[in-house]
Amino acid sequence: MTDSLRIGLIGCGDIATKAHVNHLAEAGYTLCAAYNPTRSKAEKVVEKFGGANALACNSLDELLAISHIDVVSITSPPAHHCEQVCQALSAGKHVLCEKPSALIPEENLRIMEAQRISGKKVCFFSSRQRYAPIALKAKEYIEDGKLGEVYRIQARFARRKARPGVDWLTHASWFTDKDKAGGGVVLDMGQYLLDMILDLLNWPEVESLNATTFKGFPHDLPEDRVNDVEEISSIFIRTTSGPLITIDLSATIVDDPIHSIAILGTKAGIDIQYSDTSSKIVYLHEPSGKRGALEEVVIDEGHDGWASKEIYQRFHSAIVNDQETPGTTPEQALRLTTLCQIAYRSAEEKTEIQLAAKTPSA
Amino acid sequence: MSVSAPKLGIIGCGDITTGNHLPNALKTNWQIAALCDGNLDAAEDAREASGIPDTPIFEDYKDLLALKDLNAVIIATPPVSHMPITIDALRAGKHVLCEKPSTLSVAENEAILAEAKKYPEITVQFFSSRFRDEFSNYAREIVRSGKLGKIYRTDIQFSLPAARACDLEKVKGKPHRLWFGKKEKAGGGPFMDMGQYFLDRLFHILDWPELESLSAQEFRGMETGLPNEADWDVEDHMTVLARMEGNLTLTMDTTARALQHWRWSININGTSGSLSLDNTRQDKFVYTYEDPVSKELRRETKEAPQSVDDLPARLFDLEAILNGESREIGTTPEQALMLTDFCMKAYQSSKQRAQVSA
Repeated sequence: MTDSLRIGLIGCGDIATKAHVNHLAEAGYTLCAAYNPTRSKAEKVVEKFGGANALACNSLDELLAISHIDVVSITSPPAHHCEQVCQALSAGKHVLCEKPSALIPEENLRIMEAQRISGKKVCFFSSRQRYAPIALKAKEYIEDGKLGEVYRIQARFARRKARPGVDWLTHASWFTDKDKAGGGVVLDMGQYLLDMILDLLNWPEVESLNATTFKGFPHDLPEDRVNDVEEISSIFIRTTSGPLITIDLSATIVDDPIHSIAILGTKAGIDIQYSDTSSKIVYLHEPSGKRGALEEVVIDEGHDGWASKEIYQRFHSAIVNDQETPGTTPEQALRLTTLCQIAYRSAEEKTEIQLAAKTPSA
Repeated sequence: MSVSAPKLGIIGCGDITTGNHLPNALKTNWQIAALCDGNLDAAEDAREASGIPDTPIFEDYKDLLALKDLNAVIIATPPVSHMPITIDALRAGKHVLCEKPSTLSVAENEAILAEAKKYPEITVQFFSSRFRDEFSNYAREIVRSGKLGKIYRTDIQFSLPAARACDLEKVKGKPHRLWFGKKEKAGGGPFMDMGQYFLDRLFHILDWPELESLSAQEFRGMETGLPNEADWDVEDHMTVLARMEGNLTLTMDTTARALQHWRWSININGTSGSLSLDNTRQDKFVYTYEDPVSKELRRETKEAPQSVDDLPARLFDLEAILNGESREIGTTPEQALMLTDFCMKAYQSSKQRAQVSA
């Protein structure tokens, strides 16, 4: 196998043209074909980013039939993910796919089965925060025992005027339609934090989950536009013998945006503050042994905190060097979808939902 | 009948009395007419230190309450004795100013409330309302005006790196302060002790919304340095997610021992504006809204008040009440019951690892 992998792009919307195509060459991929229901969009993409003889395809089948394509990257709306991932696997392709992986856990189970039969590799982009240098540092510090016992993780992600389909990407009407998008801020932003935090802890068992959601901000959408996805959510997660996790999400807020994660351990703490250009991870400890004499050590800073390119690179290495496939794996994706579904059910029923046996309390 | 020099008795002469209540009361029109402590030496020391050597001191609070001409008492004993002393004070006809947390159980608060209803002319207030200051009233006006739109979320964060009694140097030589770490005496840790200040302030701003249900989890496991770690059995950290009436979510963290920077904040988010009182915003109360035309964020800020010592203001208001005027006071027995109920449900949820409903 040559080092450069031949890739086909399924879906040529905003996320493909503004993000994905920019990483392909650098991560070792040659764009060989693109498919989009509106053919002109696929044509533009192959013209600008494609390799020699790159094709704009008229159908998904046409793209999947191209035998020299090794990998497909799926950036279509989430309602199509399951079907397209399964088809691509049947056609013998390795698959990268945007998040959310699927709308309901049953779809994830289909993906897992298709992956098992095909033996190909599958990875979802819900791991965009997990592989950023900052998150890797946090994981290293936790695994080295520098924090002691981690008992509390608090994540906050509040954007201002960032409801997709409402405040931006307004032409992509599927974002506000729960049947097509699967949900709002929980699926769209929450999966990044869930994936990163669960991976930091090596995927602990979730004992129970409580969540609230809210929708009610003003908007300028036409009256006939379906707009039924949540804008706000607070999620409370008990883990089995592990830390308490909370995730607070806002697709819009009348205040400054926040994107932060605090990790508290019995020996030290970690504070992560994200920003577009200068995200920062700080280690807080008491080197003198004197309680309250906190010393702040900046472990890493200066990145944007996201890792799309790194996912492409890791996936490339996994195929070329037959290394471990990066996440979000199909099994992990099932857990994310399931937790999001539980969050919606919890919000709907106004109740904490138990998922595993209770940890004996101290 | 006009009362020009009202008389005050103080029950409990621990650090909060000698460091706070006595010096503050001495700045007012009130006369310190009696002091009481189960340890008479503590009452004696407080009397000497305050320069009021002729003030009578008592070992048994019932003897203090028997003084006919006392108008009011401050109860500054550990919370385990608040309920019986409050009830006895009411029966003795004294206005009550009692430390927080008001009591250790809902049943105790109910007993106080039932007794207080029998004496409508006597006021009872708990010091959990210490932060109902001009900030809070400003915030309450904004909330009442409807300017925030639909309020959907509110958050309390209170975190100190090392401020449990067992972390503080001054506890050395004062082992009695360790009652703060005993659940049976203190009712709980920083959530019970400090959390009620924040809850009272927030509920005051929001006009006391009802709790629907909550999930909470505490953590205890930060080293205390005590000879026996088990002697400190209150939580180090408490996290709460509560559903309040009207589709309002309340999230909260309180801790007095955490390896993160000192932080305290109250945030209230609505669909057309936000309120924030946050030490990371230079102790300013910030009202944020959107400019209707430019859609940019606009801010109104209020500087923090100089001092948070509120006893002089309380005594001033109580003097006015004695003279027939009307004042809003708190934390009232009804409100104290709501605070205790909220806290007890959180501890219950943590213990059962399940949601607790109202």
